[in-house]
Amino acid sequence: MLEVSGLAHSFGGVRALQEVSFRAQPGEVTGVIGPNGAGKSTLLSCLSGWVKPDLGAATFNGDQLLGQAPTDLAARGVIRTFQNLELLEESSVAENIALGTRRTASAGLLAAIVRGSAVRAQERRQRDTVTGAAERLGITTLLDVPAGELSYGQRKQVEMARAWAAMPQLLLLDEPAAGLDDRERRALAHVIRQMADDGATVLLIEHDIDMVMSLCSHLVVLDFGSVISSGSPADVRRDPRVVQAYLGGAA
Amino acid sequence: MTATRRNAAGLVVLALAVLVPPALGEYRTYVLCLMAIYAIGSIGLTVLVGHGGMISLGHAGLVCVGAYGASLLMIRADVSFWLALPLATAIGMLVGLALGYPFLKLDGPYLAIATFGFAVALPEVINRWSAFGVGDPALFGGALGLNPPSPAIGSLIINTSLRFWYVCLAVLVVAVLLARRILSSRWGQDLRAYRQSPPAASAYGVRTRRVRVWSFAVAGGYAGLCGALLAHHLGAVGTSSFSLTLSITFLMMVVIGGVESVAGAVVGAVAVVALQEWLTGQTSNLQLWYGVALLLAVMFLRGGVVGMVQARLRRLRHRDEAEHA
Amino acid sequence: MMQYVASGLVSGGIYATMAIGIVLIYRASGVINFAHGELATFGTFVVFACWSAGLPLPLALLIGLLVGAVASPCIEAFVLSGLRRRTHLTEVMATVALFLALNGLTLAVFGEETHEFPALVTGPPIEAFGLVMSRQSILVLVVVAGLTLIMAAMFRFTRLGAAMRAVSESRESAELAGLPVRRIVWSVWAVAGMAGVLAGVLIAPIVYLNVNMMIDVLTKALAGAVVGGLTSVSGAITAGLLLGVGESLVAGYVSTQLATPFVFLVLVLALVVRPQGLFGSAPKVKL
Ligand SMILES: Nc1ncnc2c1ncn2[C@@H]1O[C@H](COP(=O)(O)OP(=O)(O)OP(=O)(O)O)[C@@H](O)[C@H]1O
Ligand SMILES: [Mg+2]
Repeated sequence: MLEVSGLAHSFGGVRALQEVSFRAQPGEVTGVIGPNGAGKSTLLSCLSGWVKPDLGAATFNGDQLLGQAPTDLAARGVIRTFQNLELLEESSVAENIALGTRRTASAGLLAAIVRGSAVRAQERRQRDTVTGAAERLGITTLLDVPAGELSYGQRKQVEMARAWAAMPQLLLLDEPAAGLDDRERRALAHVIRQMADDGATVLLIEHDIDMVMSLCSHLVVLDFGSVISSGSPADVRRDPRVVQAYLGGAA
Repeated sequence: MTATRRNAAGLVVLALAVLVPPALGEYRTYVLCLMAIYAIGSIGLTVLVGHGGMISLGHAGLVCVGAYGASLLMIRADVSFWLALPLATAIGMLVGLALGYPFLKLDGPYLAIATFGFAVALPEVINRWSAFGVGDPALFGGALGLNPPSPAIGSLIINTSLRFWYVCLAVLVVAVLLARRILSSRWGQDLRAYRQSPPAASAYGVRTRRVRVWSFAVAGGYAGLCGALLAHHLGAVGTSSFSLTLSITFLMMVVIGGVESVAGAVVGAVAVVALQEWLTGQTSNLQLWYGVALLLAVMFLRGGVVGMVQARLRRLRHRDEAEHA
Repeated sequence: MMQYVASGLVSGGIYATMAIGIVLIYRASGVINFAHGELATFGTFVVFACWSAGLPLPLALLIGLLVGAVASPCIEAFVLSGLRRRTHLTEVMATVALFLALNGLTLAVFGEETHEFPALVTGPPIEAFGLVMSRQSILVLVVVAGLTLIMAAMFRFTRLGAAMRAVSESRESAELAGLPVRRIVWSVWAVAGMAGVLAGVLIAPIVYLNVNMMIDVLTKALAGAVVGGLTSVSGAITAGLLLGVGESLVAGYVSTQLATPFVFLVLVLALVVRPQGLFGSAPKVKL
């Protein structure tokens, strides 16, 4: 279980997060919504070690998340995606997905040179995971193509395959559906659902309200860095403060 | 190219490399040796620059370390040439680490300047060693340089270019195989991930600092090995052989051959040494043509010679497949 | 002591003049121009050729500056813009290639002989405050002071200066704001090219004119630019001067042999301890 309490962070004078507290359960998709600039990505960056918040605490299954490097968090199964994808543009799709398996692999230079049986077994496992992830996302035909040559939708699929290959315990998704068409969105929702069913705790930042409503069992609404509402999708939808925030943002 | 076809091509090249040189004569074999030696050095740069994306203008400095290291071991400590090779590799790795660690935070142009500083400073320090008042003032042989002894296998002294060619070829083959292994490994994948997206690499658990530092060590190791062979090849080891121009020449080999492939490093070394030989007969103004060649390669040879060949083959294969379908 | 400081200020002034060009170009294009010194050498040879052909020195100097002002933007316009993929690696490789090519070109056009170069001002050395300084040295100091003022005034008071600042902060937003970004960048390269040739003309009477005369100066100017923070013109000037003084003191009190290694030591230490330099700002990491 992910527990966040009293998280606060400012960039200079901008209060990106204030007193943010919520919980997210394993096996569930918890949605984080809010207007642009509400602090959603900042929340994700705090939880994944990219930003060191000024105040507050965050634990996952009892372990402290804050104050750790992204690499160490990744090794423990905390995986985030990036709003701007961060694919390895010149590498093949297979190598991109293989990056996901990194957290469960050892990667010493000596191991590379000796290439003993354990290393070869690890390479085989890695290949299997990569094909498995590609099948899951329906991109097996693209495995040899450099990521830079793909369409936007395909690139997003590669990113999800990479996250899937990492077998995350805590998955932090930053607007995975942005820029996708309806068919791609449905496929994406399906994969996210499956990852949660496999036992991951999923935090989903998304502007697509339909997707959020159908996937999430719990929602957290951020506005100007504060949690203005949380609860089941139905409750949140009825909450006047949420309506106000979104209308206010639109006006 | 499929793996089997590539292996077949490699074996053909290897067979030619074994069978042809006896017919070439002393001087041409001497040039071949230089090609192989430079190829070993540029493989190291392929790892650092091509896969790691770190710019080094200091590769000649590391080669210099290997050359002096091996020579000093042979002259002062009576170490045999065969032991000096791996030891020079190790020294190169250590110096690579010693460079990579303080330069951890430097990127792009800053790293270029830092390594540039190293490449220019090292010969200066060696040349002015006596002024430092540390250790033996004649340690590096002063203006005369060092003269390492010729290697020998039992009573067979490696004193002809042909004999040395087989030594170089054997070392090159090992170097190539080792580099392919390193680059196709998980470690190589980490390095490429770091180059293309440091955030993604860290977010998935790559220890980016460690990969970075060790890629300097790998580059240093190859450079050290290259330097040890070069020391014997040149006969006399002096700082003028390791100028900034040599650093640029290594970059040129890597860029002309194709920054990302081990084969490219070898092709690039062969091409650049051939160019050098050809130009030497035509003009004394090498730098002009070097500069022009490098500029053209950077501007127009995307992916280098090897990259272009691969792209051409891929297109041919696609056409084949289209015709069969 | 003061004599060492004074002569250090002279060589430091020349490093500073070169460093200004490096910083300007870095700010405009994000590129370290390793060819900057060779361009300066070429321009200095042009001045020498014109002067040898009988033109008055000021006119020859003007022609040389013009060559610098035209040739330097060509590097950006034809070489860097011509790169298929513009990455730090290809940019560095391109300017390094130009370093070799320009060195070779100068050699091909002007030969490898070393020439005595006319000082811009002649006359007996001047004695003041217990120091003896040649008129050329004093001129160097005056030029550096003048350049510092001109640069400061340009950035602060002219439209070009303001536009340059905008471009170096963010090329995209400058483009969005409708600034003629390409022309601004070219102007910056032109100014840098002129400063380079000026540095060449100033140092040539001291070290004699030779194809390889600027290699050492460029290295030290790079050190100055880096120590000054690569993005700060005033930082580069200060650091260039300090470096010259430090070098001169080491040469005077420790050993002339160690003056150059001292500069490298400073360069490496600066990069390792404070990569953003004394006056630059740390780059921001964006996600
Ligand atoms: N590195 C930074 N430096 C300064 N301010 C920042 C930084 N990152 C974010 N901010 C500011 O913090 C606030 C929250 O930004 P954040 O990116 O978290 O919003 P968001 O909810 O993810 O928005 P969006 O829906 O547009 O992605 C914004 O006002 C933003 O300008
Ligand atoms: Mg965001």
